[in-house]
Amino acid sequence: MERDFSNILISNKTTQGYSKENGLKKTLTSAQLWGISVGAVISGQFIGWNNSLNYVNPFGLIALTGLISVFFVLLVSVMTKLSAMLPYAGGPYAYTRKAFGKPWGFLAGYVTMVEYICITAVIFLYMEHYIENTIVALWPGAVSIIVFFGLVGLQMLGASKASFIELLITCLCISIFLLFFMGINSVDWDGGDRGIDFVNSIEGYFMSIPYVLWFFVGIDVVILTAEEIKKPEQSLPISFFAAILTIIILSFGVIVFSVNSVYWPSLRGTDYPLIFILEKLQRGDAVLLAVFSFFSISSFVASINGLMTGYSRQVFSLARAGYFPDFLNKILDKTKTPYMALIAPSIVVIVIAQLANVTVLIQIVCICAIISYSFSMMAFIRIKTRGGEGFKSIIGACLSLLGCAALMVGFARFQTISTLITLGVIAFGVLYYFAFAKVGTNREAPEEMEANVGEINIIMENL
Amino acid sequence: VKAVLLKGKNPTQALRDKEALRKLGYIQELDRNMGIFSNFAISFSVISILTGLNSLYGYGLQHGGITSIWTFPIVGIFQVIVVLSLAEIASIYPVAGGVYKWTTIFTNKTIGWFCGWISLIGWIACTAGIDYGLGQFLAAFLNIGKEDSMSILLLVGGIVFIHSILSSYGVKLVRRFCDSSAVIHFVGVIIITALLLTFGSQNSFSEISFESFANSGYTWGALFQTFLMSAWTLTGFDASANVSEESVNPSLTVPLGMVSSVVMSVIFGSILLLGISMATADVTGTLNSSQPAVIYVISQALGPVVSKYVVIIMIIAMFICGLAAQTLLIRIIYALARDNALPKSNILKIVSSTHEMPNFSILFAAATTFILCIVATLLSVEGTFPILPIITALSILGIYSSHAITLASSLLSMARGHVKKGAFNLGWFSLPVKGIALVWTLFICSVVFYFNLISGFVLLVIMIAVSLYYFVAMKEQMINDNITLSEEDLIRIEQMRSKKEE
Repeated sequence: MERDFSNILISNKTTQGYSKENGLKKTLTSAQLWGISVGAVISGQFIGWNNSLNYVNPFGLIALTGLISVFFVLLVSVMTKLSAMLPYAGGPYAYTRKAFGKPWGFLAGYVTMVEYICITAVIFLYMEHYIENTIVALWPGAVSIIVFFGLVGLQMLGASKASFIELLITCLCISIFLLFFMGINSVDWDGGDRGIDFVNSIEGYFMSIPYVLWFFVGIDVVILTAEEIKKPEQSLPISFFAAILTIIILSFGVIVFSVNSVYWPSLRGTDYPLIFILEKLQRGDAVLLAVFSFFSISSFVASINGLMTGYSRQVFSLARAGYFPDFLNKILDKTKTPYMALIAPSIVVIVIAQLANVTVLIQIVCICAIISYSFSMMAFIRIKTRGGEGFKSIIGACLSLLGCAALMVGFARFQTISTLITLGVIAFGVLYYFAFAKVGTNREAPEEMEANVGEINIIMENL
Repeated sequence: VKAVLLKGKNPTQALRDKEALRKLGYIQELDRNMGIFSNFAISFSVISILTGLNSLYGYGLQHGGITSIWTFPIVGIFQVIVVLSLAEIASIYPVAGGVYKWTTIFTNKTIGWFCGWISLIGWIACTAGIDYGLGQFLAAFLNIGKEDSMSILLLVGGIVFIHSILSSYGVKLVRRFCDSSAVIHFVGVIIITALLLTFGSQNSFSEISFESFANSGYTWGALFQTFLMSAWTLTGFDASANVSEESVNPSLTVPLGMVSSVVMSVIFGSILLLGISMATADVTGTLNSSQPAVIYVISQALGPVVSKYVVIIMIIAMFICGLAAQTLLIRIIYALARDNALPKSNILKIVSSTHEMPNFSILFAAATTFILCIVATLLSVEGTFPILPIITALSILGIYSSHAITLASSLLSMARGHVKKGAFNLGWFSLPVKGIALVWTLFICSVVFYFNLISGFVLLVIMIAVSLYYFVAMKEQMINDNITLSEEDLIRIEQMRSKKEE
């Protein structure tokens, strides 16, 4: 059977011309990538994780963090390979599109987008609450919205500048951890009670999973910047592994130091565990408390700025490929910032933050993240097996997929309501796809091009 | 200016830079990729307000009280004049080697050679001073008192060793450190000053004014003595000139890098000094403490935990400053060795193939730096002649007199009617600015010499040895070694090389 490929094969020149007009600027270096991915998740060290102590004791928490760390190391190792193969702004969408075709590709991108928008909303809420409690009681909402849109403005200046600032803020955050560790270490053991007897249960472990995932979820933001990296094959693996290592070390440091320095059940009720601990131990040192609580705000700023990079790239790539309305595809001439894909979801973030409940949002974020990771892992397995590579190359992906499956079962059993809400959100995406996005995809978008080339190869082989 | 800087990125600029260097008699051997920021950053890192001011604040406090901080803006203004006149020269002759090459061009090889040696001594002392200051800070951080000079010497040895290892891994690594150093300095100074002014402010503005100085019992002569602190801090802008052959469009980036690094250092240094001096509540207590003065002031103002945090920032800045200074020192040694101007030059100029660094020059730099610290420790007299001022005074004497020689020879060549202009020039102001700069450098040299006789003595001894070396070995070599290559020869060599590469 003869097939006509003329409408699929686009000449090299056309592609280059297209990516010159609609592609992003290649400016990012390893250090900046590290800054983005660590920055995006660093606020997780300041907030949220202590809620897991409601369900497990510190040993359980440490064990669970260890397991989740292994899971993330596996994920990262697969994702670096994927993004080196397909270095486009689309990330999970690009991989899934290549492996399973349009509908699944769109769905993967959509879920990832929901994940990022919801994390940003959670952090925005925490920031607002934080500003209200520790810095200014007047108009905290207005102050945080100003900070938020200030960051949108920073993103407008281009990926290079935004991520340079991100790197600075991330370093500041890490130095603040240093201050925290020095602060709790300079106090002598007071011989007081450090804990209670608390027996861990399987249910407790599953209930606390979202709060442990909170340390890590969002670290994959770096794969969404793949299109903007100067030398993706070199920088991405180094910075991604360095980032996950940094976060693992910090998480263990924070947990171990925190639960050892105070009566750990008292951490359950607080919103900001690190500040709570310092206030308990260093009540006399007003300078330390003031400095630490003032600079802690940098963690929220770093996270929001990093996550903005994430959702703007995801929305942009879906718009560029024609799934989302065309106006989201606009790029600033000089800096090559996808500004509409930045502004529109940012407004959604603010709206969600005003409407939703934090606990449910955190659970939705984790469920979406696990779905997005599953898509990437399955795509990897599919692409590799299609390429005829052996089981050895996909063993990491298979293990991660197994982890994802276990987590999903846990969510469905113990966070049933959030799972249902997430399914509703996904169903909305599916409806949108069949109503609007199915037609009119743009073949010239790099993610689509790449997938089409793959399809042609398969057809050619079959001929 | 912007238009010219933007042009720096296109390939014709690379050709133009190569041609300009050929006109000066050299072949492009190093990779030209430094922009204006890197050029600024390397000088700013070597000047390093966080190192100079922190190390010598106690010295200023001891001799002139809090009012001694006023020497900083005064020295700053004059150093801007010096840097303007040297930047003008750097714009005409953007070659590695700095003062040594310039003086040679303006006068003759002999004077150039002596100028190069004096500058080399200054730079060895400068690196030693930075490393010693860092050693003192590290000691205080590890709760070792400042009287325990043996432990501090050991720490300095460790620092020099680590710096040398890092340097031998190549320029790329060092450049990465230097670029980040500029950011650390900006952010660090802002954080430290903000913390000190917010939480530690003890004094009113009147206490740092000259009015309080008049009532304090310090003499004006003593105030001159405290010029040491400010004058030592604001040296090191030669760094930009020494990387001329690696800068894009050097006749503009180098002068701008030099001038901006000094101006920024004066501004940020003044801010830092304001913060520290406003927090200095108890001068006698500060001077009697077993810690360096700045650490004592900060720990009093910010409490035990935050002060340690601040000291860590300072230690990082000082460490990078030391690294940058050592790199520059290696470059100066290499530049001199390349012209066979040092003993055993043929060994010193060997560049190792693994990381393309002159490893013997690194060894020489490390050894001389550490030996100088040991000598200063032996010569020091507790109370009257502490170790760090001996080293830093030697550094000032070396670097400032090399500047004076360069300025004088430049003025001399102007008087002979040689007028060349670079992209950066002062026009009619050139002559008065250079005149003032010359007088100023001579003034600082004599003040520092008067108050630090030990350092003056050390410099004299070294210079006598150097002169002997000149008459024994160098004089003949210089007469014989008088071959200069014409432009055509250089082009031919370049072509041969590019063929080899192909």
